[in-house]
Amino acid sequence: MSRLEIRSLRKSFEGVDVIKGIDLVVEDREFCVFLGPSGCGKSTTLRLIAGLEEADDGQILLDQDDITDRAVDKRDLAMVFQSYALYPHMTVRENMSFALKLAKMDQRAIDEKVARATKILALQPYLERKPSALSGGQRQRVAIGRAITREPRVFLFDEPLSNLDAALRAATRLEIARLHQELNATMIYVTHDQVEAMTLADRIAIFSEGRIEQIGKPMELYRRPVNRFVAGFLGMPRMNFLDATAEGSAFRLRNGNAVTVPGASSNAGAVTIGIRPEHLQVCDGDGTGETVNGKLTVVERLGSETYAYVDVPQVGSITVRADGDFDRRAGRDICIRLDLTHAHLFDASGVAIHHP
Amino acid sequence: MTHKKPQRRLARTIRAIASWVVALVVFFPILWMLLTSFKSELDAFSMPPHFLFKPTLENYEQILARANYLHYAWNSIVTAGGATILGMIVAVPAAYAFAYHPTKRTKDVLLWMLSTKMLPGVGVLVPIYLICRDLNLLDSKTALVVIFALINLPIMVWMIYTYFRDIPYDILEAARMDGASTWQTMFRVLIPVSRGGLASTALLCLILSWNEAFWSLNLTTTSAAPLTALVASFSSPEGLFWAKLSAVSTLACAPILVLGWLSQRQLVRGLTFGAVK
Repeated sequence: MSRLEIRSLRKSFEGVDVIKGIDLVVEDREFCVFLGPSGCGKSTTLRLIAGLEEADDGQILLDQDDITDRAVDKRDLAMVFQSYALYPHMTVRENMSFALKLAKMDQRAIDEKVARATKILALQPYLERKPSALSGGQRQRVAIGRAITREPRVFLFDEPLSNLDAALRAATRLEIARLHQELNATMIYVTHDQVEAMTLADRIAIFSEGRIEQIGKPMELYRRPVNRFVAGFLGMPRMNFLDATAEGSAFRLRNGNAVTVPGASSNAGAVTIGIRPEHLQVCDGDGTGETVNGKLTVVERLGSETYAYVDVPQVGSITVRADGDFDRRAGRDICIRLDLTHAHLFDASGVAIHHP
Repeated sequence: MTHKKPQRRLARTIRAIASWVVALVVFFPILWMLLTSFKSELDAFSMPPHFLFKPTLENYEQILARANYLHYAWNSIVTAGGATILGMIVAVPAAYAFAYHPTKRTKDVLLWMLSTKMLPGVGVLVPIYLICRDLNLLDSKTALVVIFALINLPIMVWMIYTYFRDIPYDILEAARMDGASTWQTMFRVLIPVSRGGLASTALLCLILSWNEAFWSLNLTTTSAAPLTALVASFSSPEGLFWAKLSAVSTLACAPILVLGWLSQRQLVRGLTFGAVK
């Protein structure tokens, strides 16, 4: 069992509140991802859990056991650092067995554990090499191997893929997902990359300015964001936000168009309509349904799909996800149809008041 | 591209010649000392100086007959070696604290430490002499070990501090996560990782202590006197016996010169390590 619970955790650095009261439960064997922009406190929270920073207030419980003030080496957690943090003077084997040697484990047990980690991560050919003779991806695998040999109660990952190139990042991401299934361990993973979060997480905690905005399963967060921040942070390209005013059963956009959002009540005054790029279509100027007109400014072709950035007068820039064979050129006038059955509504303070 | 080649070769030749000239200028006093030590006193005095002469070992024989070279050499080894060990024992933890647990005043403390190097040693001669006298440490190797360590400490702390700052803190945190105590982190990770820098710091302290003359002359007479005191003893009372003075200087320099030569690669790398990040 390794269930981690955080209660009202706070931390400030030189008078600046960095963590402003966090409550969180990570269940046994759960893969929990802390997601947020840089400086949001996700890494600090991880370091507080690890014991590398001291909490000002609050509690950290591991299986009901208060570890808030326990020394780093007594917490039985393992961490994988963004910079790998391998010991440069030790071979791969020595790196992976260092913790076990410190724990005075007998050599046979150490060899067994290192062999197991080596097999899981396919590190056999590199065991006698020093980190300087390894590529970035191999180093990161050694760093993960070092954590695996420890058999910790909780694995902590601090942006482990940030230093890898795109192809290697995707491959290592898969490897971590496989590892989680194989080890069946509790893992906490910090990242600012929503693809990593969406693909790896059992649950995601979205951080912003030292607080958790929302915790939930990836698709739950995607479909039912509690506020504008979460809605805008998850999804590539990000959700379009259109300011509007409620008028009876309709909403009037800034450019004067009146639209209706099916199922939405409309007594809120100033609202923001949130609609994802995949729920917009380029229309051929026939103007049926809810449409807006604008000028196509940038076209990004990704092969299987195309992102069209449209500048709508008074409304702002709107992103549309179109097909891969989208053939219009930038600079042309274009008409966009809004599929408002998929629209979200946020009140003036950004809190979600309607989901599709 | 080809027309540039001769030009480049010329530039390289000029650079090489300039390097040799500078090296020769720097090395010349040592060369002259070495040559003079093999001259007779008459040759040593002659004007203009002779580059070609009949070499003799007579100076060395006389010096070794007159003074117990090994006694002085042993004192140098003990005082310089002892000061280096003592200095490292103090400097490594100090640099560790400065580098990894800085406070608001860390920079000030570091600067203050360095500023003590700007004070002329003679300024504290009397108090230190009195302290040594009261503690019965005059003409003792212990006093020299402590004083050499203290005068080199600021530069040692600074050097080690710079090396430690270059080591990613993540590595030390990883060691802590792996269950290492502070001492284990220091001895099993930090010191092995920075051993190049630590070696050059130790070597520099050894060289500076070996060559230190001011305190050796003022605080020792015979029993604890190191080689620098032996050299000095040949200069004043005997007048200008250049050949003998050169011979004794050569004997005093030789051990440290050989050590420096053997470890020059390490030393140069160490001295420039922090500067070229």
